[in-house]
Parts: sequence; structure tokens; C-alpha cells
Amino acid sequence: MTAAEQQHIFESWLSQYKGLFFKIVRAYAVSGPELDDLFQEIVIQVWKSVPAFRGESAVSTWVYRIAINAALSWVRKEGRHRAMEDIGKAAFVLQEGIGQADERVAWLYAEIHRMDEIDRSIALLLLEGFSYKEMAAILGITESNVGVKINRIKKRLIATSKKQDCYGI
Amino acid sequence: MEFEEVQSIWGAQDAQPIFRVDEKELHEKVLGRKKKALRITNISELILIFTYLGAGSYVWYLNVRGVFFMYLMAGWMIAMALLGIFRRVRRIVAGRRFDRTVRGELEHALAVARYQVKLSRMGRWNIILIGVFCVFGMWESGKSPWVGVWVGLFFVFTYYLSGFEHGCYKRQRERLEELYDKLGD
Repeated sequence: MTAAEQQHIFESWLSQYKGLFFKIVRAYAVSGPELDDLFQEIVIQVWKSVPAFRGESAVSTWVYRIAINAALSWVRKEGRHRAMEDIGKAAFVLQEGIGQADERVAWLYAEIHRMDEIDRSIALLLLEGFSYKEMAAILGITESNVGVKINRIKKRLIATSKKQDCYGI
Repeated sequence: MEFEEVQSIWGAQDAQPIFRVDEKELHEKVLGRKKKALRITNISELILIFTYLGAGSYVWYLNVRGVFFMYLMAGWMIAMALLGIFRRVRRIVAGRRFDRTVRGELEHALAVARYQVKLSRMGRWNIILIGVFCVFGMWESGKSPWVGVWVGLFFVFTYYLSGFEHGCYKRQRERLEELYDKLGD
């Protein structure tokens, strides 16, 4: 694959899946510099992965797998510290978009943030509507194991959403 | 609230993305980071290899009086340089794989972390060994015992400090093991 082909595919993936990257970024990072740092990390990993894509899975599954792995790796490593060091040094890649702050979405992200890293990735896949089979392929665990984890996450989200209902959300 | 409602809240974000991307800034930052990451890893690896290789060869060359322990120390340093080359090749080969699942990626990270702990433990033993070779080398070449004592103390202090680094690697490995267990439970 030539560099131009890689760049072309990467740009089309970025344009198609950047919304998905935003969600992963918001689920794993908190502050502005962290969001920016993780977004860049995901973009780099996706760009690097282009030549390795053989079309054996759907592009969305592939891209999601790369992005989730990049986020988990970012959390494990020093990404957060690096992001904090970079405050005020340069312009941000992520700018405020047209979306309005929705308190129900904010609540959902707050709930996701309370989960551990693994459950967070499963919650994201679940909310995005991936099938058990696709989730098992992304995570590398059995479908029955996925099912157990999903039940736990669903119960948790439903239970906390009921508490939120009491506060009018 | 039912789960379908939670999912519809989630889906509503797609219509109005909360961020937009500054494409020019992204392009510049991504290019910069790719180069930086590669440079840092390359430089630290090459420094390690060339330091051991240079120091080992220099000790060997300087050992005109044929002190046995100095030869041992030089040989050991050159072996460490070769190990550094081996690690570098392994890292480059491993870096070419991208088709890992989350479990596979964690297994890989865990293998690297375990390798780092082993390497750091070996590095600590290395300090003791080089220290012993150095002190015996001085004793064999007739240096004052006090010089040997100070050099020995220096190596003991270095060994103590290296414990902090070793502790960091161990904590990282434990954290990964915990994460891996969470995926499997």
C-alpha cells in the first residue's frame, strides 16, 4: 500500500468515524487537554492500522477495536500526565462543536466514568448497538462472557437511571 | 428508564457532535507525535546499547595488566549490549502487529510488563555483579582498600535507588494483571 492510499483510506475513516472517536474520548478522558491528547492517540493508532486491515471484519469493528485499545493503553500509560504537561502549550485539535450540552448525555458519561476501564469499553459497544458476536470479536472473550457483563452493565444503568428520574432527568 | 431509552439518549449525540476537529492542527500534531515517539524510543535504546558496548570495549582495551575481574566486567557489559540489540529487534517486530483484540492487546502489554520486571530485576543483579567485579579488579590491581570501599558503597547506593524503578514496573504489571482478571471474570 502506498502512502497516498493509506492517507486516502485514513481520511475517509476519520470522516466517517470521528463521532465514534469523540464518544470514546469522552468516556475515557475528562479535561480539555486529556480529551485532545487521547483523540490524537486514537487517530495515530487508526492511521497506523490502515495497512494491516485485510477486510476480514467490518471497518466499524476494526476501527472500534483499534480505538478502544488505544484508549485502554492511554489510560494505562502516562498519557494523562503528558496531557497535563501540555496545558497551554499549543492550540487544541478538538474545538467545541454544534452540539448543545445535554444533561442526560452528561449523566450517561458520568455513569460510564464510574465503571472500570473494561466495563467502560463494553458499555460503549453496547450503547453503539454492536452484536454479542461483534463484541466478543473486539474484546477477545466468549459471547457468554460478554452476555454476563452486559447484563451487569444494563442492570446498573437502569438502576441509576431510575434514581435520576426522581431528580427530573 | 428502560435500557432502550438510555440507548436513545446515547444515539442523540450523533445528530449534533459536541466537537469539531481542527484538521490542520491535527495533521501537524499527529506528524509531530509520531516522530517524537519513535525518536525517544530509538534514542534511549541506542544510548543503552552504545554505552554498554563502548564501556565494555574501553575496559577491555584499558586492561593492559590483564586483571581477570576487569575482563569479566568488560565481557558482561558487551553481553548486556547484545541483549539490548535483541530487545530492540523484538520491539520492532512486535510493533508491526495491529490485529489484536482487547484481550490480545492486554496479554501483549502484560507480557511486555513482565519482561520489564524481569529485565529490571536482572539490571539490579547486574549492578551488584559489576560492583563486585570492579571492587575485586581494584583489589587485584593493588589499589588502596579505601577506594574499594567507596566504590562498593557507590554500587550499594545505586542498587538501592534502582529499587524505586523496579517498584514502578512491578506496580504497572500488577495493574495490568488486575485489568486482565476483570476482563475474564
